[in-house]
Amino acid sequence: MASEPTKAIRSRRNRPGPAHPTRPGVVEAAARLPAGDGWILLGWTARAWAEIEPADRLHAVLSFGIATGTARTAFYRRQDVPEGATGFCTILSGQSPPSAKLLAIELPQWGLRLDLLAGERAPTAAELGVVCRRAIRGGFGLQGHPLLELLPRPVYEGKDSVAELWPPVHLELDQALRVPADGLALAGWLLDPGASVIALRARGAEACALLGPNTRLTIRRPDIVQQFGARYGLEDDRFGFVAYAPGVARPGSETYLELETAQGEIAYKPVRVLERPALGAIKQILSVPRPLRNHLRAAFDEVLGPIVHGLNSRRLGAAPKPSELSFGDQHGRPEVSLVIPLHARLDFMEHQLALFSERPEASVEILYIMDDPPLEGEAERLASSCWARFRLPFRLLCLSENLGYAPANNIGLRHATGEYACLLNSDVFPIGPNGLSWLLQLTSRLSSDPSLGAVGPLLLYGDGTVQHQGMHYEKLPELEDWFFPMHTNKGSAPPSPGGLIEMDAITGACMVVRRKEILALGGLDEDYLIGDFEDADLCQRYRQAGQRCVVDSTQHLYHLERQSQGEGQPWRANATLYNAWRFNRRWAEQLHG
Amino acid sequence: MAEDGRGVDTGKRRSREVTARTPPRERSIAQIPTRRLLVVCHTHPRLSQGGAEIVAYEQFRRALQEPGTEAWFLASGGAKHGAKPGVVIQQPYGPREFLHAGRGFDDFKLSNPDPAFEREFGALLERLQPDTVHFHHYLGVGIEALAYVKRYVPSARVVLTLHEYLLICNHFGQMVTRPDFALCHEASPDRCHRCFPEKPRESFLLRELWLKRFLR
Repeated sequence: MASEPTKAIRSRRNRPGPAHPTRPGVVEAAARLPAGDGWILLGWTARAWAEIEPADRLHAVLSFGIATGTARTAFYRRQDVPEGATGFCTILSGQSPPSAKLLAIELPQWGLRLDLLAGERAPTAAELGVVCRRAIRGGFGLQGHPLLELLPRPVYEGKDSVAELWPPVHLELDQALRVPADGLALAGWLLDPGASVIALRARGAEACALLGPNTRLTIRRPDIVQQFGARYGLEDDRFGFVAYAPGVARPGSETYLELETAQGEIAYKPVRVLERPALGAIKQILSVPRPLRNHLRAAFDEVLGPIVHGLNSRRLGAAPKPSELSFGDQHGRPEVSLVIPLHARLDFMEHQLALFSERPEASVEILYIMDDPPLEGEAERLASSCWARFRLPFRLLCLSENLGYAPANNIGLRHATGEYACLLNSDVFPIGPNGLSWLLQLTSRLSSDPSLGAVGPLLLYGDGTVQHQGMHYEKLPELEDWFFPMHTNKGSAPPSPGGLIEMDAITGACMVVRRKEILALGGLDEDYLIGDFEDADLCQRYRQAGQRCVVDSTQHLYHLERQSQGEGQPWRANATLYNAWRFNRRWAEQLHG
Repeated sequence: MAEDGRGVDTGKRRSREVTARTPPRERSIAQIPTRRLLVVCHTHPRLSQGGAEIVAYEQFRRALQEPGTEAWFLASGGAKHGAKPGVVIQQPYGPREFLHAGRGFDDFKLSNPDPAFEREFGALLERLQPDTVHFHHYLGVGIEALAYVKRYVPSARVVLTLHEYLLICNHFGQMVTRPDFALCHEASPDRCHRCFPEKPRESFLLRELWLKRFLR
């Protein structure tokens, strides 16, 4: 509904203007600034008004009336305009009513009028800002033009706008997991063939985290090279990243990534944050390809360490009470408790109970800790069958969540009642008709010598060679000079039985300790993942307390190494590195000295 | 069964008590100590006619005809006859023959994990009080059965006749290789794994540890 003045202006517009030999120029696009206090304009003109002093006052011809305001303009060369004309981009500031539409701009002192082209759709300020930014940046000598600061930038509206960037940038996320309390663990890849990205940030819950070189670790992604190599001529494959952003993933708030380019453009990508049970989340985030070697320590210090620690602290916080099945009667208080975690391979329990039952010992209490909830029913059936067949009393504790090696052992230690305890892997078996006599032998070593902290047997492979005879530490230069426990004499013929051999550490696969003592030391450290460094860490604590860790070479058992842990799980390599990182943070200094 | 003064089943053989009460020179032929033999096999000749079951049944049959011998026969493989719900040992062939119809037999470990079998076989042993249990097989009843004899009749002798090499050979106990059927002269975890690459090498070590436990 046009008012009288509007109609007049409109009709004025449609009439040919003052005669000029060529068209004076045109406003190709115009958009209101988001704050409503001005316009952004794009077009070309036969005369660049910067030549006029002062040139900062333009008239905006509106649908009703005329507004006057100051203008900042950038002129740039364009190929698609008549000779002598230049492109312009102007921000015209000035108040005007919200419903006013811009029709043209005028410089009355020159008699210059540039009409707005009629178009189907008026661009938004953000869109026009992008176009102007690109146009200006393309211009010679315009890189630092102050107009660039004024051009509007898009705000996050819940949409993925990365595809609109130029030069193109590809950003994809493979994983986005919540790390208690409000952190975000991200894994993905960022392909920036134009080298234009200057900042990647994570935002959410009023927090902002810069995913910069310190909080982001780089990972090789040859698969990306395969996919995009031809298009962009890629030579490198270091596009993958894992990053940790604290505070941006509060439940209930939106989380998104923000990409800023050197051209001043901004793009956004919404992030769907997944909640996963913590051990699953840890395995998932550690399934990324191994961090690059020369950044290993930083990778764990800045990114993987905090992620795993955050996930661990929540999962281990509230472990519910395990359920228990008890078979047979344990007469009196046992002297030593066998603590045996079970996972996946239930048949090991069957074999162990069959062999232990050949020489039962009333002073031994046997506890199996089922750390594999999906197999709980099967475990209970098998346990009943084992009791019926072998008549060896034992207890079966079932955990409602898969907690891992260290927590399972600690729960077993707390539920045991013996004065001594033996941590035992499910794939350790007596040789010959030994039954449980080996356990009493090892226990007697401890009871007769208070300077001993932990005692273990000699463990053998099925072919009679040494599987474990204790550990010594070696620094591995290819892995950040971290100390790694090495298995002494592994694979060799066993040493002639000669008594106790003192070692830096002995294996948790079969380790006899005083139960109250190990609990006083804190049990196994539950922040380690899988079974790798927990035993070394415990033995370091014994040594720190002045006690020795020894192998009793007179006692032999079979150990079918690593049968209970499935093969081909990619996260295990990184889990070992995580353990090594933790172990060295705590003990490297002592081990050096 | 013999009883002591309080009427409790002492499990003693009648003959011993007779010997104690009767002066030695008046012992008659009826008082010669009897042999109590239980023969165990994996199937019954009524259900199958292989060498082991025929030999086993023949041993049982001849023992029955010996003066002073009591004999019984326990066969597995009763699924062919038909299992009866709620029991695993039945007696369709007469008072001295027992048929085991079980499920869940583990062919690799030669193991019968069924608690019901332990109960019923144990009760049978306690009832029969054999002085000799002669196994011609462990298929069906399971290798654990040897341990059950020691549990329920500790004074009994356990005899095992081998009709094949199952204890050391997972290839149907034939000691021929797979797939070429060449004669095999020595079993070991390595060699067995070569015949059965789908099974990890360690599983053969475990099998050996498991079986030897029950044979000691």
